[in-house]
Amino acid sequence: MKIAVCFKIIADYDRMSEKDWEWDDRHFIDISFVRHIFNCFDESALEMTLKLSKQLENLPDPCELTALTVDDEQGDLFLKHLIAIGFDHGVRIQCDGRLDMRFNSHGISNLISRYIRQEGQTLVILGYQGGDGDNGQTGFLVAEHLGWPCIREVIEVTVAESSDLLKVKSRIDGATLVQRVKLPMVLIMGHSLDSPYLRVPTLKQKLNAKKKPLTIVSSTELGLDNDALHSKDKTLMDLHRHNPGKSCVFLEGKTAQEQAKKLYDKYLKQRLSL
Amino acid sequence: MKAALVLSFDSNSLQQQAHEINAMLNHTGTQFSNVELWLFYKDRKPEFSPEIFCPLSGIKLIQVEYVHLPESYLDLLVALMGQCPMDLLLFTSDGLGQELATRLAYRLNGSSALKVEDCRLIRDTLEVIKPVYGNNLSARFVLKSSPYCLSVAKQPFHPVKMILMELLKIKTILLNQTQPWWVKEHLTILDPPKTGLSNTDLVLVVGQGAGNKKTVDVLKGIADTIGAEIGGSRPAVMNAWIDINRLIGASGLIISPKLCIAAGVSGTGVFSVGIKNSRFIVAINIDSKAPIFQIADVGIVGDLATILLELEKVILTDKNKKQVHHIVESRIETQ
Repeated sequence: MKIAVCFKIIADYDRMSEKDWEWDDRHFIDISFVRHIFNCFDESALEMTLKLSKQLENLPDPCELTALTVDDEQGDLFLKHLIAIGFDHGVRIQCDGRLDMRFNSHGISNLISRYIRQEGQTLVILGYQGGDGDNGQTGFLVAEHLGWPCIREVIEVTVAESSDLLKVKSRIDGATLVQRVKLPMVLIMGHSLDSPYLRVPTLKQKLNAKKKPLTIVSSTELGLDNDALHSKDKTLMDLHRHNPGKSCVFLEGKTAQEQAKKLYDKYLKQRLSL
Repeated sequence: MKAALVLSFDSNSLQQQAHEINAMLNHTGTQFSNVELWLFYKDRKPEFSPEIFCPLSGIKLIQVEYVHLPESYLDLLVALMGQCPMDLLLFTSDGLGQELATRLAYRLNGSSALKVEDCRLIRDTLEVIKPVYGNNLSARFVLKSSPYCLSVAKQPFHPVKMILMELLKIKTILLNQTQPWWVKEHLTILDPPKTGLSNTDLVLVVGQGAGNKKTVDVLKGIADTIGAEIGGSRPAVMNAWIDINRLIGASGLIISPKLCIAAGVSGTGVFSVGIKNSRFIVAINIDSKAPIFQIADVGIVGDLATILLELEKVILTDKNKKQVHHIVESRIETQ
């Protein structure tokens, strides 16, 4: 069974101060100095896949895991991390740097699905949203490009009786849906309490991963030139930074008791109907 | 411009979803020549529909057999768009609405956008505004091709009422539906009853700053004492300190209490969107530069557990005084 997990590396926006939210003429924000992290939903997808592969060990069909990202060189470090913790292949699809792919879910999903068709994976797993674009559409569009069904807001996946049957738990309106489904399939991860965080590699695993090569595929190798990847869906006109319009009043005090008393007397007493 | 509002009658959140679509209709500067309500149902044909704040030219009731499968809705929508084409389709803010908007636009060579806060028709193209960069910024886009399929942004809890549908406007749609090959069996486990978080006056929201489950359990006790519902940011929920149905933020609940106390929450964009509609926000955080203070009315820099325990004492003392006062007064009255 061949599984691909698609992930995205994002800037840790928590570490950006108000003055960092500035953009250039092309509406690009300089986030190069900010620490980058796995998108949280992708992180769950990656960990869940590792757990799934453990279950597949007992079945005759061997499991082959590919971690896939559409990114520039910054993705390599993260791919190495994933190889260290158990992924067989680390693949990065490289686009022309002049293309703005932030809001282009169509382009990204086209690249992913071309790669999947070429390599023959039968299960594709992605996080439900993330990244600068906050598009939330890539998983759905991968399913459409491939002509496969998809399940969104997945919280847990286990192997059913054979390697082409999975038991998938997902969230729907006011309920949890448990389905036994046949592959091929696209799974879109939601808030998974079963696999919230990605495991950490040991030093030995890290050293071994260093020796393993990554696969870099260009968009043109997948048959998509810049024209084909250009967004035909939407065009960004401008960006806007919200101004909450509030100026927070900080309550000082020598002790926590003093601060709590001030908070209650001045602001909460009238608002709490006790 | 012809528009259809797509809702599912069997949804637990139907009235809230209709409110969110109404909010979009209120915001939008786009004039519609014709607005239809497309209401999916499973077994019993609905007689009531949620109140929509614009004149409806028609209501289509569409029976869907495989209610849990987006693919079933998609096939029906594609067939329906062939019979009665629309320029704009407004979908709900939930996962189903997002999936249908995206996949339908793909199948019909249209354009789509999710979490749309506003849309305007400008010279035959549709402009939309939606959050980007983890809800830290808003972006204005021009969508290039009709039909435009939009999933609306979440709104604070304000369900609309259900009203009797006008019989003359109703048309029932029955279309062939094929059984999905990929689902071998399915089971639905209903959630426990909803928490009161969406429509309460006082909420204590806990974040990663709480540090551990033990502290969160103490905070739950404080919430009980002061009569607050408890909620959590994503890290607090993913650490299993707080139940997932109490997740606050862009992918959880959008709350609008009279008073919200955010304790140990850094205030990321995706979280802040969940509490920014609160009437009064108190933030407690050890880091004076935490973004949560940008949306707070009052802030305290310090250890959240120490401050909240002190706050609990102050509140209890005041409560006891009131009770003593009340008892004394009632004794005086009885004498």
